[in-house]
Amino acid sequence: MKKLKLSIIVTLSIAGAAFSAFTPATPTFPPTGWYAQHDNTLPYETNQPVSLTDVNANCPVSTPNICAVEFDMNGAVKTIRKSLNNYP
Amino acid sequence: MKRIKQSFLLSIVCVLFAIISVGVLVIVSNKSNDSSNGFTRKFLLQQSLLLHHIGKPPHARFMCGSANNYIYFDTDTAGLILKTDTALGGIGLVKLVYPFNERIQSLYSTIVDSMYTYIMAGNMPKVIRFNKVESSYQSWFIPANLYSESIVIDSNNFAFRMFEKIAGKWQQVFIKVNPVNKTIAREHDVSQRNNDAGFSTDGHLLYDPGTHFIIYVEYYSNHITCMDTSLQLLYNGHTIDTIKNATVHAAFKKSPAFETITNGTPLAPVNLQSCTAEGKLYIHSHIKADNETFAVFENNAVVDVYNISTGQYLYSFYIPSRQDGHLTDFKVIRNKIIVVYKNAIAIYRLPE
Repeated sequence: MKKLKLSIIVTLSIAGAAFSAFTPATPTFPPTGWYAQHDNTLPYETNQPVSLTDVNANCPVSTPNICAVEFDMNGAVKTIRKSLNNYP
Repeated sequence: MKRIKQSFLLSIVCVLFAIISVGVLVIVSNKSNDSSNGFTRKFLLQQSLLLHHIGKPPHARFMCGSANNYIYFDTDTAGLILKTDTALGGIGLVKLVYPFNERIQSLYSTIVDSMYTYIMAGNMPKVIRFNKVESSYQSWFIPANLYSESIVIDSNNFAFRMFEKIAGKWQQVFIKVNPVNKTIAREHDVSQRNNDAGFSTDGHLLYDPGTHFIIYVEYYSNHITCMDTSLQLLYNGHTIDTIKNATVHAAFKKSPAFETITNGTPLAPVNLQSCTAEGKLYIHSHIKADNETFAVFENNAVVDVYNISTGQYLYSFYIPSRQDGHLTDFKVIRNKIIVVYKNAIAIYRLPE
């Protein structure tokens, strides 16, 4: 019985690892709460953390797309971030 | 012994189940280039012929201009420019003397022509124009919001894709500025407004000196916008693929210190790098045509060519991918293509 438990744990670990390997590293945000929680100046709000790691994950090195835009507390655009620039 | 066998068998079944599940996920996942994309390309018979090749200096980013038989590349440090001749015979360094700061460094592009070098600092927002002959500079604050894309129309006129709050929502619009005359012109109903701060319509702003047209190529859809230098819409065109709508959506995060908007979905690029030359628009596409094999598409960068005046598709050709890594930038100068790879710079003869 003990061995059966052990083998189930090992199997589930392998399956979990394999599944997570194919799950996108960048979390996708369901389009719920559209305009619901903010002042209508931006798209939807999420509780997912947005860190510089997330931002960089959105920035393939070869495409100079906008990765992120930071706003100050007054809602003014503070900084635009693109993939091919050094971040201070 | 029987129990051990049973456990072992169960483990094998579970592992097989996991492998099959993952396989099914891979098969059903959205891979646009594995299936028919509903369009074909017209390829030139002639191939891109390699003329010159050197290892890329580690800090080089884009080709930022050419003048007097020299080619210039900007680097990841604002104001440091690499210079080489049209045979890639050695690399020299040009240093612009200016009090560059972290704000400039955080978002800038470099443009070099025969008379001036420009640093377009989107986060200032500022334009700094260096006079090569007089070794002097002029810098202008642009009295508006920050800009994500910029072009030089002539030495006194610049166009930007700039943030603007419209009806309480951040959008990006096209603006033309003459800092010498202190005039600002704004487009009217040219930009799409998706209320996502311009993320889904992010793209590359270009200028063709031959036709005097301004072109905007979107990264995530097949949409092309063509304007004159007064920012009047000439036409809304499209690339030959069938990706009409961007699947990219923006996501917003509010934190105590600041607020951030970023891409909330995986990026699905349609058009990558693009450039103009002598009335033609060259776009490196990320979408495979139905008359291409997957292997050829994966091992080459396909470039589609359009007539800028009409928006009409003309033909396509390949820039070979090399062991030097993927293509990160390319420009067409007369009958040559200057290609920046991850680890190399190469010059090819432009197929005709």
